[in-house]
Amino acid sequence: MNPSSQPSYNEAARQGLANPCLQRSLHGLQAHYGKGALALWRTLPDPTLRSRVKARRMQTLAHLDLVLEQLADGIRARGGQVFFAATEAEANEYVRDLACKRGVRRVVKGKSMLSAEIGIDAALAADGVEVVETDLGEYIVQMAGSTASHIIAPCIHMDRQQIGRLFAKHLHIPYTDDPPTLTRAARKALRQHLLTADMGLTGCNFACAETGQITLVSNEGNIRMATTMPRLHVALMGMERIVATLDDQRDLLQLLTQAAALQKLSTYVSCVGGPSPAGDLDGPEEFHLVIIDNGRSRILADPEFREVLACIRCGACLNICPVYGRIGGHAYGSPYSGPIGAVVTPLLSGINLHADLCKGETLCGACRDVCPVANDLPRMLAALRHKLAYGDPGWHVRPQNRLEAFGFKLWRKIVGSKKCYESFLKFFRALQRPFIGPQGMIGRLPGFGGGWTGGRDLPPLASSSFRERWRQVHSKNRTDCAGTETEEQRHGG
Amino acid sequence: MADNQPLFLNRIRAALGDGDKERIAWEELAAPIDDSAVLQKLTIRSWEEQRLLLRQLVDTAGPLHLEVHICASLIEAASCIIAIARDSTPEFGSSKEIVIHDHPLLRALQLESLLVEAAIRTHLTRSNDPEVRQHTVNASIGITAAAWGIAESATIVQLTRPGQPRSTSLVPSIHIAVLELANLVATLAEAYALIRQEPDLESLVLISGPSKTADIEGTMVHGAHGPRAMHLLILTIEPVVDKKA
Repeated sequence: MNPSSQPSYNEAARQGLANPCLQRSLHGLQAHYGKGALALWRTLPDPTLRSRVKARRMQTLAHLDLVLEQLADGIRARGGQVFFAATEAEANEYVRDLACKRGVRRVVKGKSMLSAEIGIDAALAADGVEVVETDLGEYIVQMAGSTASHIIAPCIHMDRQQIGRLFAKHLHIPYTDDPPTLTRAARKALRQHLLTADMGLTGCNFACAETGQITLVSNEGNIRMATTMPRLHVALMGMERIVATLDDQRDLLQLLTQAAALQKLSTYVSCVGGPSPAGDLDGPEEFHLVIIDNGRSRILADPEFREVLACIRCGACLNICPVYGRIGGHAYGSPYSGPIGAVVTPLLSGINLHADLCKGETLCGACRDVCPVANDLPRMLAALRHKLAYGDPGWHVRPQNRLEAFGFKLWRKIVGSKKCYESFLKFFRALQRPFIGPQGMIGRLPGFGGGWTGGRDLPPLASSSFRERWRQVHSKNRTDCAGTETEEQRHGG
Repeated sequence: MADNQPLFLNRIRAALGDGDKERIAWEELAAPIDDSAVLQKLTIRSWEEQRLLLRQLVDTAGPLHLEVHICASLIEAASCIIAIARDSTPEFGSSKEIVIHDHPLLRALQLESLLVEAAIRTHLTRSNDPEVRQHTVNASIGITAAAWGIAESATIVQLTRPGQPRSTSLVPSIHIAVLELANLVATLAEAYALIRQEPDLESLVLISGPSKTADIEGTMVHGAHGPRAMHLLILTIEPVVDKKA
């Protein structure tokens, strides 16, 4: 998650807005999945489900040490191995070391955002290991040298013609833009990889402490392939992605598949958690679970943000967010995009570094309404803005814009005094006159005022304030108050 | 590599702070669930109710492209499978081969001898047979026996057992699952109550239809990496004695 090599938030957002294919796809996605999920929550047979699950998530997080210990014991009892990685470097080193020791030449990946967070592809590639994404969308963006722009629809920014040209070039097939034909071509190419890889590398939707297994969901079957056919299975797990019991897993599973894709269940839900026993005919010889902190314990320690660890990465907030719905995922400069990305990316990799994200969101509250675990993302976005405005040594945040802070301090002084405020109005009414266009709007301001008018017209200050108008028009009516109400009063309230 | 676990968990404990009065013991956090009421409900469900569940399953299966075949006898099930096998064309190889879970219900179908007549080779996934993987990769059809079915989501529960590997329902182009109607339950919650009764489960998978993707412009395509078609055969043979007594 190093944004230095990426275009800025503004630049990437502009590119997203200018991509007609992305605009079309985002519109379709949001109209179907975002609205669909909201409708689902309204008709839940058990209306308390989401709040109950959320409470249980928070309770589990409050016992995280306990449940992780239980999980690790369960997996080791089944012959699996567990590695606790404090940082992405530790996680990468463990997997590289394992790949090296076991002579791994090819790794097939199941879709995992955590793998992108820790940058494991590059780490393995540096050792000469071939890393192949197997989720169709991830495969396409890998082929294009791009990154995923949606949690569950990674190549939503590409159209079928682009994908057709890509496949013609890389898979050496005749050009076609027919999705079934393209899918079959990828199926054929990836089957070879899936059947011959030495290691399957997946994420983890949830681990279950009670059973000592992890749950993986997919519709394509690539994750089942990657966890069944190679001799090694390595699962990367964010330390918060854990439930205590199988019953908790069921609740969360049903919320996940409904929120993500309006499905009662995904096509495949696998529960695995160890090497296959002797005598079994397939499944991995070794199973490794890498439990990763990488900044999560700091979030856990802060009561203001702990809630965000309840997230199950369903992507529903992307499917409803009016900002994500226009600018797309790449603007967020992180594997985690949309409202959840705008909260979790700064917390994981630097609030100042990703200052644009929380400011870009509108705080409209749609993400909170659609979230299956009712995470209050707008509250956390506002909290991040607060930190950026005033600084926070605890999170190593420095005030982002001292000039702006000074401006607001000044504003506080101005609005605190009637005399100051009225002279301010008088002054700016005079100042704005040359900028008011024929439509009665301010279309362009000079200097940094231009930031306010870059994307929209600004209404000018009214020629007289409410107080002034009241004085001029209504003050004489005040004597009538005891008697009958005047026309103006009835309308004016 | 060093054992990071104590350090890692200590960091979490520090993050949680010691002031949390809400802390409870693991035994309380994961208090066992009493499944007896659910299991009792399953034992007394009548054959008519099972048939209603079947209707629900058929309705749900349609949009998932899961083809349901209702078979009143073993012979009917066997001929249904043979018809599917005859009509299919191998996707990756040239020969028609079928891998079959080594399961009593599937052995009772006597597919081996029937398919020999149709010039289709079959392989049982016998434990310790080193060639099972190769057979599975070559096969165009995999046949499994499902432990349970779930009506509300048109799902089968496939437990991994000796002689019943995971890849049979995954690697061949066509997956045929056989389920006895008596083992059809209504909800995921009921299925979980049954799963909890299975000790030492190595792994399991819930399957709801053929593999699919909508990653290219949202167009739904069946057959991404798993089977491109899935058939579910429901055996509606009423148990002579009470099925779960």
